[in-house]
Amino acid sequence: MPLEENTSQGIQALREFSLAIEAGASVGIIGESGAGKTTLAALATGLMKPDSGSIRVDGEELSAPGKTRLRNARIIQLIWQDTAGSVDPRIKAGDIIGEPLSIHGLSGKNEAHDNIAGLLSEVGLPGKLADRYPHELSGGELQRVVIARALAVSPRLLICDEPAASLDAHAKLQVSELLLRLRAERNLALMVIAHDLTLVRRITRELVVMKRGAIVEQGPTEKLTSTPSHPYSQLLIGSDVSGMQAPSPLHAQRSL
Amino acid sequence: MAGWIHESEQASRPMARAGLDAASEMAAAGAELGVANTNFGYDSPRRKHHTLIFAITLAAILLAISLIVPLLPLADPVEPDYDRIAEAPGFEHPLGTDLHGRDELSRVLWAIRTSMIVGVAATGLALTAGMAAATVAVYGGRITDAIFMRTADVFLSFPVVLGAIAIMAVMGPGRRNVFIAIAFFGWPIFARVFRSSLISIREKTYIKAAKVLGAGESRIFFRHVLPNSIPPLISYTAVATGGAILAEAGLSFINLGVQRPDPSLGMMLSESMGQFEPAPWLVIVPGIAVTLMVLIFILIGNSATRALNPRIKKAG
Repeated sequence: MPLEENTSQGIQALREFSLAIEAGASVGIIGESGAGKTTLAALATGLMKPDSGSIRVDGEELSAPGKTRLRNARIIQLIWQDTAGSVDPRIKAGDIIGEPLSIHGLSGKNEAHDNIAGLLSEVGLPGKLADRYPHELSGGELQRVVIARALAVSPRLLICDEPAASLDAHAKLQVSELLLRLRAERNLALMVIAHDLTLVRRITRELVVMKRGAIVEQGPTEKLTSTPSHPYSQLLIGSDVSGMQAPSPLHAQRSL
Repeated sequence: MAGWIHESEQASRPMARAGLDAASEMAAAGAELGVANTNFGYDSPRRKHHTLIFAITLAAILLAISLIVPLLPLADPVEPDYDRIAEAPGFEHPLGTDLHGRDELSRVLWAIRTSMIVGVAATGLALTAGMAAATVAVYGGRITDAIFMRTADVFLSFPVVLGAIAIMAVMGPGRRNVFIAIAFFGWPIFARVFRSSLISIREKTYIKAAKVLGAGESRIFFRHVLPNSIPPLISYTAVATGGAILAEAGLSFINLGVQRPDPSLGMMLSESMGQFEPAPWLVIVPGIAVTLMVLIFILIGNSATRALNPRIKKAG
């Protein structure tokens, strides 16, 4: 499943950006704030349209005319950085997971309950959580609910924007294990956008270092994190050796 | 792309979440230890909305009374009895009689009926019109939005009562015209409140999340935007109903509302001017009635704000 993007006009959030993701692959995207990581996610999910260039799945243009939103939803799904904000506060967890099922007509009235229970158990949550409102769930539980919602449409690529940003160390570990398991079981391709190098190292096999909308360096995660060649990658990766956060943009700019 | 994720929201969320996480963890710990009550006393469903339930009960009683007034065995509120002018409260007339010898209890109940009907109906009409205008404005594009909202601004520049007086002057006094006047000048505030509510909800991450999940515009509107945009209106609607009741009383007080001999609280107050010393019940009875009615609706408005927010529901 090649996925490609090229934008090269105006104030560029992304430029000369080209990335192909195979089925079941896992790609990490790192870079300072403002590097265009979030724009990348918006483009891939169809929330934004590229000024130029294209996003293709199996050679087919994603923004091709037709029922794009419905079609794209079943190919690429997104786990939002702002997990708590990405769910309707007035809707119970079970119905949150059930919504994509009903949008895409994936289960009838009678099957919906079973499907929701199945998705909950796939992400390691007890069925009784279906009756809870988002504010009654912990950060880790809510993150799993959101993952279950994305899985409901059986996407082929799951983009995770800072999937563990607001989680504690334990929940972080659990979420990364869950993502790894889903990749193996569903042959689900993962694109993990993160500041947290530990997480990226754990989940991904390939790594892309972005700076100001362009790819600076790209390669196997293991190799790139141990011996980064580009000075910017060295800076990003070097600063995170002890598990610290990536450098602030200001700091990065001054140092380069 | 700037609007894709709200910076401020991002900043505030983790803190709020952290607090909730801590609370749920404590609750979970309590459950493991076999502690029966893990809500630490501030999540009692009975205590939660008692003010709101109390206020709604009172409003329901008022509404019930105003609906059944014609069925009650009351004295004629209109027919004068000049043998019994300004009688003090007693066995035959529990709240006394007025300056025309009419039963004060009967008149005040009929007046409450008028106030409730005018207040609720006018507010309902203003609410419906305001919501419709805001929805059209928000979804109709920039020019439609400008037209609707500038119109609303023009209306907002009149105080409701003053605008209503102008309408009454043109259309003539009477109960039906009071209702029209109040609704006519009441809708813009509803439109404003609902519009800002719609706009802020439309920018929420969960709306974008629904788009990414493939939801269509109408599904997003009816399932996510509308239910989340209405709560801010509910409190305001309750308070505005109180305001409409007050406006009706005010217009009747200056003789632009309900016409004689039909009773209305404002008119009863204006008729009893100067009578406080000889017949205090003529001032006290309608005065308390109008004050209580307005207070009840303000109370509903204030307590509804807390009760409707799922986030403060817990601590309410």
